[in-house]
Amino acid sequence: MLKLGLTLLCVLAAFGATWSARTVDNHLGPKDLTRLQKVFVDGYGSSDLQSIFFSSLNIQLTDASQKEPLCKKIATLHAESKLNGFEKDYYYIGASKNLGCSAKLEEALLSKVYASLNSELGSSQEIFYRVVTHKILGVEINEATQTKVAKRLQELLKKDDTLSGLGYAFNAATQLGSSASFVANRVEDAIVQADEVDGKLLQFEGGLSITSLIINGAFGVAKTFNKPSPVTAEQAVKFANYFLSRRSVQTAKGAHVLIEALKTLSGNEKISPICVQLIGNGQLEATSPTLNVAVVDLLGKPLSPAPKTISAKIVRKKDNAVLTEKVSVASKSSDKTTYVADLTNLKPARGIYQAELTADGGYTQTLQFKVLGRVKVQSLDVGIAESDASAATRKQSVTYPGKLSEVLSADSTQKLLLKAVLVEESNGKPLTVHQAFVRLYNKKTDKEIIYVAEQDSSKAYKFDMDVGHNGKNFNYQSGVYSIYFTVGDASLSNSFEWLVGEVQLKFNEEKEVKPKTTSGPLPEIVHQFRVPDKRPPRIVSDIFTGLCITPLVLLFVFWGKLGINVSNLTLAPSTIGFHLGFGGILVLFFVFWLQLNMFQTLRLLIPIAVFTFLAGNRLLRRLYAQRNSKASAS
Amino acid sequence: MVELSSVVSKFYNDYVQNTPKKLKLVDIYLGYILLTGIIQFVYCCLVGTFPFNSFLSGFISTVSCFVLAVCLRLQANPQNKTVFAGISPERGFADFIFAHVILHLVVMNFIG
Repeated sequence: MLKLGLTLLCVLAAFGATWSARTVDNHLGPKDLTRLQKVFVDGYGSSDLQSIFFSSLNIQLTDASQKEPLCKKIATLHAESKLNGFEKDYYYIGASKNLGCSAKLEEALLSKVYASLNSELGSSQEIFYRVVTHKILGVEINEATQTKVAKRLQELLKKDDTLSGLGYAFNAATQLGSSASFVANRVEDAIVQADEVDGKLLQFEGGLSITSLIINGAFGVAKTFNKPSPVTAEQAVKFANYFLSRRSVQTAKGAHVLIEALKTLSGNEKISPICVQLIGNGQLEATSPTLNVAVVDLLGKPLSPAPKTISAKIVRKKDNAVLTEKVSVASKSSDKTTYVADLTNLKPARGIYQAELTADGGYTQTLQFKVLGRVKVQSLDVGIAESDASAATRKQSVTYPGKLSEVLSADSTQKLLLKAVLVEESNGKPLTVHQAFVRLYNKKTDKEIIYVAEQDSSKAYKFDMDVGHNGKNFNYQSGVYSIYFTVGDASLSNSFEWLVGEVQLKFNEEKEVKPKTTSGPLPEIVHQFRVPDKRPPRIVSDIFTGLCITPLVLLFVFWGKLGINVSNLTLAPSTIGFHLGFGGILVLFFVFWLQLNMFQTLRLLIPIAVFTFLAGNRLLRRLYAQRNSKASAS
Repeated sequence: MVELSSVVSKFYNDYVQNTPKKLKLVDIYLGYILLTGIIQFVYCCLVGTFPFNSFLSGFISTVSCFVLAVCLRLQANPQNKTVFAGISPERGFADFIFAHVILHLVVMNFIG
């Protein structure tokens, strides 16, 4: 059993592989070519020697007024360029030849180029550029030099067998002729180094320019030395896929090598892939099913020689039922690239199909297309029923695309019903569609709500809505609603939206639910000062202020009773000074309390304090002396 | 009771006769300060401490004045002459004044 399964798997895998052999599903179309053309035009405007060279290779400048400034420009660019000497020489000489510049190239430059082949060349890249420069200049390289250079190339390849080294060597060998035939043995080494991506693409590390360099070189070598094609048909498809995936390249060099590589791949008839693709969107009308296929080469050109016979096997995708084993796909007389298969006799039903195309020469391709059907509304009833089924339903029929003349009316105790039978137009069988909706739209409020119509056991689409329960969905907005019935399906050519009629809905809770505004500035936050504590009534404070003063009165009363000795109070300056100073300090403190700050206070305090200190010192010294004299006298 | 009154009257008489006049002056001053402090305290108990800094500065002012006055009294008392040798009553008074200036600067700053 397991063995059988494995064999089956192998067979299937092999089958799968043959589905598309030697074909790609894309090619360089007119749009891509225009875009690449634009890249070359832009290349002329750039200040890059390389871009100008590749532009000049692809676009012939006819305007003489543009040529001369460009010739001057490349001369300056050549002088300033930071590229390798041999590379920039090639670009400069090539561009000026392509442009047809009138100015002669400097003798010094030319003699340098001529001399180069006799010197020790540093890399296969240098050999390539020097050789092609000679070619552009139209100078034959003599036999002896060719042999010498080929020998040098062989030496270099022993040391440097990187991909780019090999690539340049292949291209140089193509120019050098028979003496360099040894490189043919290295082609295979290079091709096996290609990396495969997702089983679909083949590329060399280093991207578009390296891949193109090697492919062009390898094919060139095969052609020059009469070797078989360096890549198999299968590999060619993958390389072609890679190049086509790089269609969006933006540099002039990239665009040039891309076109070159695709030309190279297309040029070898034995392995070249072709592009087989559907024309249009792949949707066929059931009434006139004609399959249009484009068969072109990688650059979008008709094949030559054109394939003699193309046939297709048509399979329905859903159940793999074979519609026909072989239907002929004939070339359209007006257009060499277009092939047409008329499927009218097969009467394909609505659905998705696969066409397995086979062209002579081992080209196969699988294409998917769709046959569209048409839907017809067999019947549609719309009506109002009581929610509790207490009364009979009033139903009215509407025919497509008409509209119910009267406006229905339903309140919260009733429900709205709709039933529609959809059939296929061709055979009258009931139909299941992807989308069947009932849309209720209120014109006044510009609000709508959409319900899904469900299919019942008899394949009729049904919709019923209890008005009372669905009030929330309508925001309790009573009013006249239009009933739209929408039918849609990807495999229908006549999906429609149909205004069936109008209904007056009345909800029991008539309330306006206003959406809360969630955006807008928040209210400003005002700083809240601490609320001061409650102060006692004014009179209490005043009484206590008075009470605090009473001890002072008592003080004076008692002092008076005791009899203060004021006789000692002389009118000496020190006495007056001291009392004035001390009084001044107290007054200052009082002012400080009311309005001054600490610094102002201290500034004023210092002189007063010094004065008071001096006066006080003298006063007290005098009192002391008085006391001592008194004591000594007594 | 009689004993108590006799003790009190004896104490009073002794005070009146033996205490120098200067010290009596200071004693009266002390009484005045004490009374003021008590009134402030009563106010605080009855009404509340708000505004607290004003209450504190006032009350601390009375307490400090009391302490300073007691110091002055100690230094000026002839009985303590041996303890405070070299500090004459005049010097004590000068210190007293100086301390007051500093104290009230702070009190005024704090009173708000």
